[in-house]
Amino acid sequence: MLLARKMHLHYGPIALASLLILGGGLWQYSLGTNEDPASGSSPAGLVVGSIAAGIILFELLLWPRKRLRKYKLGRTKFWVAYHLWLGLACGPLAFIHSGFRFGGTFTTFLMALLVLVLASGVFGWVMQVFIPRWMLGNLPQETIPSQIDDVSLLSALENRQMLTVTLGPKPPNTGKLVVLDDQLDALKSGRSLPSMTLDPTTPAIQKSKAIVVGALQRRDPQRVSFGQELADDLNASDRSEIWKQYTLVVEPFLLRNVISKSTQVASRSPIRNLQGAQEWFKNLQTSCSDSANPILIALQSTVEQRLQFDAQRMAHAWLHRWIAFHAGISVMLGVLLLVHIIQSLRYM
Amino acid sequence: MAITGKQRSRRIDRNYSSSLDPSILWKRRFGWAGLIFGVVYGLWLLNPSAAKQLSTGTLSKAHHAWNETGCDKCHAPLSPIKTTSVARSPHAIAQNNQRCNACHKMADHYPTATKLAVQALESCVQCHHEHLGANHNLLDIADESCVRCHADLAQFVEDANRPLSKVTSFDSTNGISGHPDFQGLIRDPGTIQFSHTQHMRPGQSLKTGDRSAKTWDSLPLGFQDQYQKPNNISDPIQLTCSDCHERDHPIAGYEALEGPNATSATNSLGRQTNAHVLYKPVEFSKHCEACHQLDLPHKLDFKDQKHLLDIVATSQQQRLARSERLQSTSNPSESSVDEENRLRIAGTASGADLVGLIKENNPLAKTEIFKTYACSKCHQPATDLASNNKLESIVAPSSLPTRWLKKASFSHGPHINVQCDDCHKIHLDSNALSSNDQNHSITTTTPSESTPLLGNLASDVLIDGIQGCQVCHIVDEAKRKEAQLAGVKNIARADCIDCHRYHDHGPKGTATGL
Repeated sequence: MLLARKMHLHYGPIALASLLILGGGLWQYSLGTNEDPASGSSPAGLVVGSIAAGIILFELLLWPRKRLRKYKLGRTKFWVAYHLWLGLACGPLAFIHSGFRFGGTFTTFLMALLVLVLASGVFGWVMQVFIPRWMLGNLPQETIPSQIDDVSLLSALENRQMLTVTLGPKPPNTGKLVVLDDQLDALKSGRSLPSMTLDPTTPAIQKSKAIVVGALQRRDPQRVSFGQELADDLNASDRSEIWKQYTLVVEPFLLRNVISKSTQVASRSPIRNLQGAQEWFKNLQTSCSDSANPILIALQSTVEQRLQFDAQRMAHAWLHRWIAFHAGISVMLGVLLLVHIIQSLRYM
Repeated sequence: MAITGKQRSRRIDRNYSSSLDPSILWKRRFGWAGLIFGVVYGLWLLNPSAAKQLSTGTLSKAHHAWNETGCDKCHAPLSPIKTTSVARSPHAIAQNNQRCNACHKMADHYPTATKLAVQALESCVQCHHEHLGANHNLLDIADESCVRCHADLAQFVEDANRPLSKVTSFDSTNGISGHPDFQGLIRDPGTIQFSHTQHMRPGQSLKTGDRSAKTWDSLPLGFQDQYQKPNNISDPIQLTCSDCHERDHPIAGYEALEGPNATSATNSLGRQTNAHVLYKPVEFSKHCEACHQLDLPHKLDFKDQKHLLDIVATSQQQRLARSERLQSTSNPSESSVDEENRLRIAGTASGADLVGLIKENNPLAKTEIFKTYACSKCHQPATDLASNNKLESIVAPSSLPTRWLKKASFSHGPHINVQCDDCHKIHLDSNALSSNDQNHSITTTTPSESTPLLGNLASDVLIDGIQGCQVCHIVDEAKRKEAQLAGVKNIARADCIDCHRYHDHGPKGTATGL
């Protein structure tokens, strides 16, 4: 982001400041001699070390700043810019402070922590630059990550409603649909989705309930009219086959992570990737009459949407999971830095 | 089926932001874990048993045992140990130095000449750097340790008005003068009259081709094995350096080069040793007596007058008898040595006079002995020889230093691959031995107008000055490469510590810890 959005003019000064700080540190180190190398306790080492420690403590302020954002302590993009560029400078400064030695166990551990923090930070920086750009081009149906399961559930409900309207009630011997009452209630009340179970006594969603749920969808005239036009053109074989394939393959795939059992089914699903899904739907179209194509295309669209959600979930993980590691070791580094300062004052 | 953004937004629960994202959850968990681990680890470090964790590096082998015992063996708490520390203080440095001195009884560096305030800020660790690994040599002291004061001593010494050399490097670099000339080589304090040039001449004759040249077969039988036997035993004898100068410690592999029957070889065995430091003092009985036989013992005991009287009387009788025999057999073809003896005897007191003087305990007796027995050939008379009757020796002390560079710790062992005449320049005759002839090579030097003829006078100091050292000992990297290209084979470092000892400044040295 910082590199891609042509923010050089904004971040140039801080990058330059970081380079100047780094250059100053190197200059301080060069003042050391073989006899008196720039170690942590020398004036040069102490100056450089203090700057590095100050930067580390400043970096940690990003966390409280987030908590205190209501006080408007500067714009986020500038905080992030300072965090990144000063953070990059602090690594070499710490090495200069140590005289390019790792020292003993504690200082080595401290330095290893710093390296890990820097490495994870740079990794995250790269991820934040490239992954959003990739998502923008490849995941047009991107949604809010925490709502992926909810949206998938709604897709499943929409599909049920569409099939109920276009194909009629689900025929017997075409599998068992999942009971989604609790999930629907949760959705309406804004709670998280409870797990679902298969209920043999409820073969299909009732039309009245589907309409209630479809209250959202009733504002989608395209979809409603789509179901009514197809209703009379389909034969019994198509209706049975589509219901069957939807119940056994499509819906478990859409409701993966919503229904515990469906996750296992989905992992072996023939539509678990885009190529497989396209081939599978092509075969299904072949086995059904041409009249069923609009329905199958609609189902394929929801499956492809779900595949994009999966890719988004993966991208989201790459984009954010490193932060947990980065934050954890950063806090540890901050605490141990204080220990290092206290011990150094004792024996420096 | 395309979906518009508006349609998509309708499918999102408005309260979605109240639900916790797993990544945020894990970030909090890791954050707390890091905080807890850091605090626990930090608290544990307060435990003395965890002190090793705080060490900035492994201790050297000398102090390796204390890697496990904590910091307080060497570090005074809350006292910076380094003099470069921002929070240094004389009190803190003294506290830490005391910990070193508990085991290392080291002398201060010129304590009377150095300002007290300067001494108070001198820390052991200023020069001896610890925590640099088990293989770090604590005695490997960088030049900067010395240069920080010796670059301008006036700031550090009590008497800044006396002449003080400014030394920043062994060789002069970038226009900055280097190490000054060696003070110990300015003059020869010795009182012995001796010509190296003559003694390195075949037969040790006064002139080349002189008939007085010593031959191997003319040596007393007891001394013949001590010198290399020439092919023709009536050829003039040729001395080598090792005939008179013996190592203080033999070097393995060089035995064949030390003995009288040493064979021709070049001293490039590559066996350097620190055991061989200097050469033993030359002894008359071992190194001179083969040619210079005396009628009296070399060191007369003047305390026992009766014994002195006996040996002088006996020798005088022998000398008179020999003198009479020489006079009766004298002819123009006598050797110059016999002629010299005859003249010497004629110019001194008669035997009866000398014995009488000794009996009378006359102070002139010693003067007469000095003249009669040709002591003056090598020695100078003792001060007040004629007036002081209580003198135990009639000759002045030889004062030949066994160690010329008294402020340095020169050792011959590491220089074993260097030819003798690389440092000891002696002018020899063209027919003297050359480096191809003998093991201890003495190359023939051709005198020029710019080169003084060294070796002919007793006062000549036959040790090269600092310029000789600087041929091989080079600090500046560029100069080292130049020397390498110029064909200098033994290029070496020139650290201060190579020659000088910080804790050794007395006549006998106090470097007990080195």
